[in-house]
Amino acid sequence: MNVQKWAGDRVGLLMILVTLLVIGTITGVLYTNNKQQRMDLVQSQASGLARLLSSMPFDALIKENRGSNSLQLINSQKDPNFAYTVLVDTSGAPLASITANGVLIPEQGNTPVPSLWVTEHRLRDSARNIIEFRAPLMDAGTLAGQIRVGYFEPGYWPDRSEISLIATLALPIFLLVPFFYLLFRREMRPLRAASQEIEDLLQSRQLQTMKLDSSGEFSDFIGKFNQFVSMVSDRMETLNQQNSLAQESSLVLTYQRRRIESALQCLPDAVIVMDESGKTTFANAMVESILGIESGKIIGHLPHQWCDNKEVVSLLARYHSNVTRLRRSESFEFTPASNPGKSIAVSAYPLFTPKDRDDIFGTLVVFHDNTEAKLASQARDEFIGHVAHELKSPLNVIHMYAENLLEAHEDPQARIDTINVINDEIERLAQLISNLLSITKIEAGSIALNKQRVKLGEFIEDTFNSISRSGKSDNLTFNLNLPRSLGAVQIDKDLMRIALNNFLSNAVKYNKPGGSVSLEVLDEDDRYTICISDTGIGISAEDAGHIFEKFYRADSDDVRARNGHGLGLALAREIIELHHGSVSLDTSQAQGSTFNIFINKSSSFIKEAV
Amino acid sequence: MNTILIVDDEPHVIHVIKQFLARFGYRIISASNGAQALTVIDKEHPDVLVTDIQMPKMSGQELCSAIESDPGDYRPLMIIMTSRTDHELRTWSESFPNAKFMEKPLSLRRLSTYLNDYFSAIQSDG
Repeated sequence: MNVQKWAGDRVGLLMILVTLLVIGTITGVLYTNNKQQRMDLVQSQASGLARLLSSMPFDALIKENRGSNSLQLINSQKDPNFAYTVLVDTSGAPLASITANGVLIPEQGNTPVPSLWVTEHRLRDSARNIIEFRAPLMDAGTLAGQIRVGYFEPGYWPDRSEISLIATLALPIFLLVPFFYLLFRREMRPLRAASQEIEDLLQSRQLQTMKLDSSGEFSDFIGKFNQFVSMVSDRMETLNQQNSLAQESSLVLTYQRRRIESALQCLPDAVIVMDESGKTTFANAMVESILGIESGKIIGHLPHQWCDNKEVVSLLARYHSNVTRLRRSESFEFTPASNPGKSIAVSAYPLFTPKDRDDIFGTLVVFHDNTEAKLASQARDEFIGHVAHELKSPLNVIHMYAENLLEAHEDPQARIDTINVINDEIERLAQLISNLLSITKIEAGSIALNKQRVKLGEFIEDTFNSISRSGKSDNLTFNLNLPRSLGAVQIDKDLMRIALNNFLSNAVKYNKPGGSVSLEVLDEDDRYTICISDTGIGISAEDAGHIFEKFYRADSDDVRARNGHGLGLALAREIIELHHGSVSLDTSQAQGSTFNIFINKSSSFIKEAV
Repeated sequence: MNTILIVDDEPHVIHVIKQFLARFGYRIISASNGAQALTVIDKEHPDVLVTDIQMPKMSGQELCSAIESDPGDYRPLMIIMTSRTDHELRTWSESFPNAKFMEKPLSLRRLSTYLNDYFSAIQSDG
């Protein structure tokens, strides 16, 4: 602000200076001119006087009246510039003289020889310069001496008589200066006000138009300034709008990116996104559970920095090689070194920009945990292998016995035995096939329970009796112990009969001669417990954990000596569980084995409803 | 007398093979699993081994490998009966020069013919 004010004042000062300079110049010119005029006047007066005196007769000047008349006349003129008049002889000695008050006649100098001509000389009094004219003093035609007329050289300073003139000239000029200055200040006032207003606007940091009242050219300036301000504010508004649009679209982009990322996070597979250079830019949470690597260790790193499988690293490297960049997706399966039980399928897909299929900007890598599928496939293969083995074993026996029958026809007993074996094996085969079908149906979930209300007591008695009839040949004792009144249960009669049959026939099959098979039903609060026990070969602790597995048969010779295919108990348990019941093997027994079957009294209804 | 060892966990199979091959004058001995078979082999040194693959305690594969890895020069003919038809098992059995793969259901006539041919070939060689 001070600088601005000073700048404003500087113009005023400059104007004053220029005015003073002009005044000084004019005054100087006037003085010089005036001095010259006065000089000319002095010269003409002095030379005129010198000539006048020279033309006067010598006697009139010297002898008559001792020269006082003429000289007195001269003195009486009272010329302020007059210094002296002196008559000297040829040797320079004064003959007569007259001087102005207080003037000493200076020495003649080193030109004592009088001249016949009027000559001009410059001399100096004690204080002032003197112009001296010398004329010959003639006495009857001869040179008698010289007439010296001295006049003061006019000074630079004007005479008092001229002061009024100069004052008259100077006054209006001096009056004009403040006038101009005031005028200038007045003209500058709106500019200062405008400056102040701009200053205020700057301090308020707001873009506003000026509200200054003004007229003339300055109003034009204010108008244009305001026009400029509104143009700037329009431009700023446009920029603000563009800015908010940009912010909105950036928000939308962020939202979309997050949505995609959260979708990728929800995938059951490990997903990694790599940029063009092969560095990971995104890795979802499944990376840790499938690959066993923290996503933090993957993001921002190249494949060889986080992956210890060479095949995977070389596959991913092919997507980032500049020379032979892969443009198609590829996948293969591998087993991570850290977890040999796992099987992981890795698939890599090049990421193209939507507009340009040639522009690859990264790679999407998906790791799928195939372990379960592989195990399932292994289990399926194993199951099929078991089935093939179990189907072929009786066929093998039948085939061999049939062949033998053709040859061994001489012994009728051998024939009967052979035919019995064939018959047993056919029965075993039929049983196996029907069990296999049932278990497959149950496992596939395609079996529909045909539930009916069945009186449990009657149902168990019926099944138990049919088994006891067939087992009588082995000298076995059969004990059935049912409570007096047993309620009805909601079961699939046919399936439940298969389950019960499997338990009971095992009790018969793995029994010892003279042993017993017992069935007891316990009526508990909300369930019935069917206990089937035998006095047979028993089940070892090692086998106890596996007996419900499909195709499991104990390794003992006692077991192998008996026909079986390892499906009976697995199927029985599946059927019981289908009825929301459960089965357990009572391992507390010292000999033989006891199975407990738990069937809920009413929960089957509730569970159905649920 | 040529001795044949039959190894199978199925008693019916042993019984019928025994009955069938006895007609040709072979001495038939049997074992119900690989482990039992090894003790029998130590004692009897049978000329031919007819074995199943899927058996408890010691499988047919383990039995054959044990015989093959024996440092002695006892190398009987090994006839492997199995229901498995997969390629791996076939390749495995082919790795033994003295092994013969026979698929179940096994034909007793084919078995006896093969054995008769084998023994007569040995006899004519000897």
